[in-house]
Amino acid sequence: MKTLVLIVRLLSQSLWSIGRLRVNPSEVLRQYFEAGVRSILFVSVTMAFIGMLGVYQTASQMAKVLPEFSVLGAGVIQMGIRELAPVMTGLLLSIRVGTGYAAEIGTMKVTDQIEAMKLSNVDPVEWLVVPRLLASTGAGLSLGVVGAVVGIATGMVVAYTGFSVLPDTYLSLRFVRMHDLTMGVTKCLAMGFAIPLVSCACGFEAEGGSEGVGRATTKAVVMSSMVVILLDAFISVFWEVVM
Amino acid sequence: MIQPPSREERNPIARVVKLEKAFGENRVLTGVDVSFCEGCCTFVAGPSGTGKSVLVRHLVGLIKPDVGEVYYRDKRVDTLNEAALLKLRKRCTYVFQHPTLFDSMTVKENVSVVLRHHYHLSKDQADARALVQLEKMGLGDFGPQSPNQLSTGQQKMVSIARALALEPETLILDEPTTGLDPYAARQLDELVGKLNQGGMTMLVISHDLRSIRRLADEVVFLLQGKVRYSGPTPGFFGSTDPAVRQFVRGEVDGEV
Repeated sequence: MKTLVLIVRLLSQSLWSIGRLRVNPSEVLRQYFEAGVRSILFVSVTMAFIGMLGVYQTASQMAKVLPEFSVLGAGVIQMGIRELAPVMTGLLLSIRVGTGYAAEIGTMKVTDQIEAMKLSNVDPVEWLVVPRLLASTGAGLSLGVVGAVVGIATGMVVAYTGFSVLPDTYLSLRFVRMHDLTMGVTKCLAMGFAIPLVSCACGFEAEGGSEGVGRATTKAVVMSSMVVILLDAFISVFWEVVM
Repeated sequence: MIQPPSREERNPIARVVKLEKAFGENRVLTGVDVSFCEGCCTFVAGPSGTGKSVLVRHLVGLIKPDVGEVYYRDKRVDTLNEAALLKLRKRCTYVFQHPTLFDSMTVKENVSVVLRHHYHLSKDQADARALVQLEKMGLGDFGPQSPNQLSTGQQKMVSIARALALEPETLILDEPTTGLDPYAARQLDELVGKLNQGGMTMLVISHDLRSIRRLADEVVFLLQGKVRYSGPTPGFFGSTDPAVRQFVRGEVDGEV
């Protein structure tokens, strides 16, 4: 409950700072480089294997019913855009970036750097949370796109080599609607936005030395992963029912 | 010629009244009444974990008391909002026990960021003033370096430079010589003495009896969250309170 209150407080303070354009662009870029660019390899490798396994498993199941793969690519692409890429990228971002944020801010908290910021008239939310929030939101979207492209591409290789599906057939967008694209983009943005909020809140709550930082980091990865799954479910239902 | 007031005649610049503070089940301060005189060098001494840092953090509003009142120049600190606290923290600055420098900035930026945010200076103006402050303390060469490249003693000096850049009237130092080699510790003592002679009110948390003997006008001795001694330094070293005597003599057996 305490963490939830802190998340809401960080959210309102961050939006207030962003609304007043109290944003340090160079810090946002630096954080984007850390969260986005430096995660490309991690996301690409993971999504490459997920794409391959996803296509292999789907095609294997299809083969049991009817050995006809003309809709394999269309189905995988639709699922990749609206579900797999956003969720997997969100989870990977929470592991790689969220833990980093919690550990960094947690360490600053237990070594009194946050208090020193207050004494220096530096707003910790404006200085620490806002750049990470904006950078992670951008990184969520870009990594989601990278993840989707890589997953679809490696899936295509498996479809061709394992099930003789030609790339032209595989790369079919017949199932993909604008609805799927907007859902995927919304999920990527929402997850990229939520992860730093949760992780920074966990960091701000850290107390009691390195043990406290460890606890904050564990809590951050657990909470942000849960938030990713909950956001996925909520946005999926909202999109299907309301939109 | 008008003589400056003696130490005894000076007004208290800060005081706490019936201060109580607990963290969960742990009662850290119980009924603390103490005042700190203007222009004095007051040392807050006592064994570890006795509430020294907690006491002085109340003076700059970093901690709110559970019970009691905190005053700085007759202004109630514990009821101030963040905006008013910021003004107070320009006049009364606190330097933490650990050098709390921001790792993502250079040494110069660590000092200039305070000036930019407190005085709304441009980056160039703040950088120039930060460099002057660092050079005054013989740290000018470290300006472009990262804090991680400095020794603990140098980092502590930069933390103090950052606090002094605000030109405060009161400087609170939390265990400034802990972890320093004897030479660096004496250098820091000299700085404290020099600042105090320049008219700055100094509040120093320290266990270092040599520093207390050399520099302190007054001593506040805390034990288990209560003030056991508060007064002039000679009285502290000559105290008949068994706990104070044990602390001064460094004896193992006793209440401390």
